Amino acid sequence: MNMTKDITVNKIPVRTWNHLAMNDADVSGVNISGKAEAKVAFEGVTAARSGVLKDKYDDIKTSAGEELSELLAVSGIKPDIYAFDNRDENAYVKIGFDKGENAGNAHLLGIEAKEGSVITVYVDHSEDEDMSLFQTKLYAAKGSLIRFVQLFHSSDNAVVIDDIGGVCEDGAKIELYQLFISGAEVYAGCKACLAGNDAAFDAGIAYRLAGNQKLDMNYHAVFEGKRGSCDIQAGGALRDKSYKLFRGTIDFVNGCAGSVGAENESVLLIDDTVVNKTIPLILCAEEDVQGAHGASLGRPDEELLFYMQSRGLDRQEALRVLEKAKLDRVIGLMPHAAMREYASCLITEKENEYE
Amino acid sequence: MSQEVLKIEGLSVAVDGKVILDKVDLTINEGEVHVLMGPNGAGKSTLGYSLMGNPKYEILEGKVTFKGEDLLEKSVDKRAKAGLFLSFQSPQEIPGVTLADFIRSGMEAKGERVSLYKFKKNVKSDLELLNMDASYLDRDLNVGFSGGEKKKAEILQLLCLKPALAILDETDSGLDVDAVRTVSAGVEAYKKSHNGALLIITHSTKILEALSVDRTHVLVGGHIAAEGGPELVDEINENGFEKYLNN
Repeated sequence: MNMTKDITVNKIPVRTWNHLAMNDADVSGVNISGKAEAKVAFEGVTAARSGVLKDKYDDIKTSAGEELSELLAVSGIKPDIYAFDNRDENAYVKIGFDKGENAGNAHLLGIEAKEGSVITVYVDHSEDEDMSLFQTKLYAAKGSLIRFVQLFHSSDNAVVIDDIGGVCEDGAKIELYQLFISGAEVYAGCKACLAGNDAAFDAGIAYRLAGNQKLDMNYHAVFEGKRGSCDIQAGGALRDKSYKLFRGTIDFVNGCAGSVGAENESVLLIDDTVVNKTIPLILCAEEDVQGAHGASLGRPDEELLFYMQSRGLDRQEALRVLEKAKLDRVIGLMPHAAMREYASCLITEKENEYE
Repeated sequence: MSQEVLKIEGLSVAVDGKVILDKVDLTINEGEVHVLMGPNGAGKSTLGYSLMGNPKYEILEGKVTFKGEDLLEKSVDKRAKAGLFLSFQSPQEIPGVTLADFIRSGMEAKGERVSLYKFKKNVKSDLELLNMDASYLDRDLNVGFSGGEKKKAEILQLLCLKPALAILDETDSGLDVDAVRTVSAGVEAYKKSHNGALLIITHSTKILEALSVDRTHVLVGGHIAAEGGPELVDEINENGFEKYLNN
């Protein structure tokens, strides 16, 4: 198998002016060489034998959009689907990918949390390939919680397309945490459908970009049930000639009365040469809802730098601390100490590589 | 004989083109406690920020020697590494950086490598002294801290970084009586354990109760209008600054 196609991903639900180049992202030469083999480690948990996600998988919409889904469908790669009925907060699953000579570059994953259960899944993205594609579908049954954590620390020439779709039934919640540490070009996002009443979606996204790195993101929370809630918090630091585009959509569908959605982005612009684009969007077809968005973008505050320098840090060290703080904020939300430590080590390793 | 730590000679400073300090002279020796008093707008904080090297403050003329070296030619971080510390009136918040990591960054910048485990162990008695729960170490620096907690966090940094001279810029302002007492105990501990020198900028005298003041300086309109011993603090408490304003 070796397929190559130019595709468009990360379309926003309602288009804005084309000249802003924010409506979507074109990715040329998207190549699928075969299925990437996942290495799955179960820490204190086992996957349940059966679940409903295998029947729902194809119906769950994702953030990258139809063109990627069609390409993956044509490739014939089958998803690895895991269902969990876990109650132990200390348990988690860690997934990495085989980097052997014959390893493929595309993987489809399904995670289901059964009614009232909780599961945390960490996915370690350390791709060396020029191009890698991942599609994950999350299904949170009634009253369940899925925490999906991704650590992107691919090589400096890797292009990664990561695509997520999720569905939350009554009282269910999906928490998504993403750390973008390295990689030449990363296209990422999540479309979360709050299908049931009292469903929730929270996302904590952090990035630190330098050189010519590019990060293109698309997050879309669709409120269908009543009293849904969503909180998307993104933040990061941009250096050199890096490029970042954040799309965040809160989509109140008719009938989602009592729902509350918020999104916020905080970006530290270290150099004048970076490109920083943000497009927050609130779509509202229901009256009884609350939606909020905010963005804080700017150069590091000189008084803050002075404060840090007054404790002995030179200007570059102070900037590095501020950049790392953006990532640490999300690391602090990860529930397992061992994985927090692992994530911190990845950041330190990358810092040492750059020095 | 104690050694000279700081010597300010004829220091004039401007902010946005306006002269705030005019030919200030002041000398502090090792282990001495100096108090800088003055009405609002006299230039007290300007002196603290100028000595620490805030780029907003323009040095017009004068000379400052710190431990025998020219202070004004050093960058802010080098002044801190040389042993100068400024406790801020309104300390900054840094989301994502814990109090422990921030203090350790400062210690490491001075060449002192310390593991998080060892740091937390060593800092325990300082936390107790300041009535701070150990959980503060894992909280983001000053984020969600009350005014009193921020000031305590400043004094905790003072105790950990062990500078040769600490400038406390109205550390007691906005604090209730108990909090002033706690902060004052921290300052006293710094002085005793490190024989540190202090320049205490204050309107109040509560913070001075546990300390033995060596010299008092009254700053009015950017000038040192009067100098004396600890008795000058009492005189100002009683009569205010009026007599200096009229001179």
